[in-house]
Amino acid sequence: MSTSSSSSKKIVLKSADNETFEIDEIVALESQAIKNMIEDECADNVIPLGNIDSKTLSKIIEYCKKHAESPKKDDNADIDEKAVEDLKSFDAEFAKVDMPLIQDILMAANFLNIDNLIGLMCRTIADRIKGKTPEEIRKILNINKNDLLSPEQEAKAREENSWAFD
Amino acid sequence: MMTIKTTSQKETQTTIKRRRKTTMADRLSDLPEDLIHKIFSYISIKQVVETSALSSRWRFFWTSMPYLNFSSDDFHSLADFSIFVNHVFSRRNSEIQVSSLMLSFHEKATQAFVERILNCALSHNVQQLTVTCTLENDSEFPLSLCSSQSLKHLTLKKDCCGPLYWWRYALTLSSMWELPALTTLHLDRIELSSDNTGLISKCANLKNLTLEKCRMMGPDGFIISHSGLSYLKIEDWVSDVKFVSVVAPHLNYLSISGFSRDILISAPNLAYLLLESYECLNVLSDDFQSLEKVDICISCPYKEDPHRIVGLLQRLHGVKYLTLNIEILEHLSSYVGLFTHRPSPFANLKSLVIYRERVYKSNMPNEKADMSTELKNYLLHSSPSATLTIVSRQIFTLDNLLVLNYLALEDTIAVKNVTSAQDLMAKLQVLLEQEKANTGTNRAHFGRSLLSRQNYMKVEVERRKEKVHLFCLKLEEIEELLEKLPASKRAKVQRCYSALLEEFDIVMAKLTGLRGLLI
Repeated sequence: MSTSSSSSKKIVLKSADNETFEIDEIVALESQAIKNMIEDECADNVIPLGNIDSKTLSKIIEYCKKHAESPKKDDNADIDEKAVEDLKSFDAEFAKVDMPLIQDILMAANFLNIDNLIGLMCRTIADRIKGKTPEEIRKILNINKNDLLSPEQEAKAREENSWAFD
Repeated sequence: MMTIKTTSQKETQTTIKRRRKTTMADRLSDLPEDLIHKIFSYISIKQVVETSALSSRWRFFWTSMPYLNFSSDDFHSLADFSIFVNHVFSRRNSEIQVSSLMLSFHEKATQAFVERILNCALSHNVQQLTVTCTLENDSEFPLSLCSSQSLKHLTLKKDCCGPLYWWRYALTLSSMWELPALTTLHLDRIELSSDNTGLISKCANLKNLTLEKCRMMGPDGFIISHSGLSYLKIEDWVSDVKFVSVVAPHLNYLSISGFSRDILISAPNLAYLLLESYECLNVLSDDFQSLEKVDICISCPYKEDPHRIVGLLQRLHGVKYLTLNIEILEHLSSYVGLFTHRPSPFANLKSLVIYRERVYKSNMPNEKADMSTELKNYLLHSSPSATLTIVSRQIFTLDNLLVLNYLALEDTIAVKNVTSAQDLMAKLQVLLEQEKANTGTNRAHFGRSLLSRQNYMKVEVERRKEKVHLFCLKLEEIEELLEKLPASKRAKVQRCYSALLEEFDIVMAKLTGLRGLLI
């Protein structure tokens, strides 16, 4: 409540492709990694994120903004149900992107240590694989042709684990 | 010699592009192992094992999974399931601890079978165990001789076919387990007898306890006594005990909802208290010394003894953040004498929030909640700097759902309405069941003299009137929700609804039958 967007401290992030993003400190705090940097007072200059491209970074900022705005779930507060619903539908919409981007977001979220976002991306990937045949999964995960098992190897793997295959 | 590699910006960009397009062997195996484990934790272990045929990278990956998610639904027969479980445990990498195990099964599984699986799992140092049991008959939870030095989190859940039937079959617990490391226990829809109180106090390191829709039973009360407990949540609908007693010197958070019998609390270090009930709330307690936040909601307090409410407020004197529903205050307003000469109890109050709990069609959509000056003085006089917020709780109102219906979100809303309707139906069903049981036992209250019989009749007639009114209101609420459902969704709940109506008619006939005789 004491921080309004105009007076609050800004944090500047720089993506791998050299684009800079200025965001409110409160938004940056969603990332445990950046939070640690701020606490260690080494976030005064631009924070370079050499392994995150601008497309991924802008998605991540979109996520952090939304989550920073929503009322925080401290252990004991009676949370406004509507806010929870709102955040849920935001998350569902947010995850409707293609697999390469999901993976990039997951890697970046892991690097930045944004717990909720890691969970969301993991669930999203799991939901897409769930109940699919190996063939479908190969397609979803874009498994490289060179990495496939030879027919003999695959037969062996299936035989070894025949107890798991119907 | 060491070379320092400097990456120019251009190179970085190409690297990124390349990773996207060409070099990606597959999208998952690039991720750190713990993330892949996390992804697979949402998938049944059967499917995870099946990934061994995906590619050479995935060949043995499943063996390192620390999260195992077993479900008998994945198998044609229990024999297949059993063989599968044995294979997983014998072939997985035993150096990797099983940090979490989820097991869900239909009760067709014999006790011995489930016990064997659990013991197999527990012998692998499982830290977190979730067992869901889907019932078609009354049964005992097959955890009779369970013991583990490593288990920290245990969740036991009863599931029944269909949302309306969850109380039909009982799942009981035996009173023997040795779980010295347990910190979190979550019981969902389990029948608890007074024998089970020992189960709880026996877990020496227990910190968090949740009893969700459990049915507590016993000739007297149900006692939860634990010296280390810090979090306790009881969500109750159907308990059949005279009182619940909580004795927990280190309790920090306590939430009791749905329970409308006596509650005895001895928790001097309590900081957060949440009490929610339908019609009355008799809390007997010592003074609370360290209260921070209290939320009390009695949705229909009109029968409640006002002394009890004022008494409770007095004991909450140290609270900083207080939330009350306006119905409580409206009820108190008819007893101005009770508090006009009392000093205001709250010396540390920073915030008082008041909201309206019950909003029906007959109410104005945004009816303002307000209270008398005397009451305001009583609540706020000792803390002049406290903020007072009066809100009308709009989220649950039917009008709001109606407005939302016109938005593009129709389907989401319909799904939400289905859930709300199912929830409301389940609650009404429980109330009806209770009433059915109640009408049977009341004969015992008949006195011998004419006067006492007349008095009893009078009280009984009033009680029944109120019940009839309450049940009708609830049914009306459900009907309104159902009307808004599109036909496809409505079909889903129609069967439950018809069953509910039958039950409703039976109970109504019973309730009004007596009144008909008297008139």
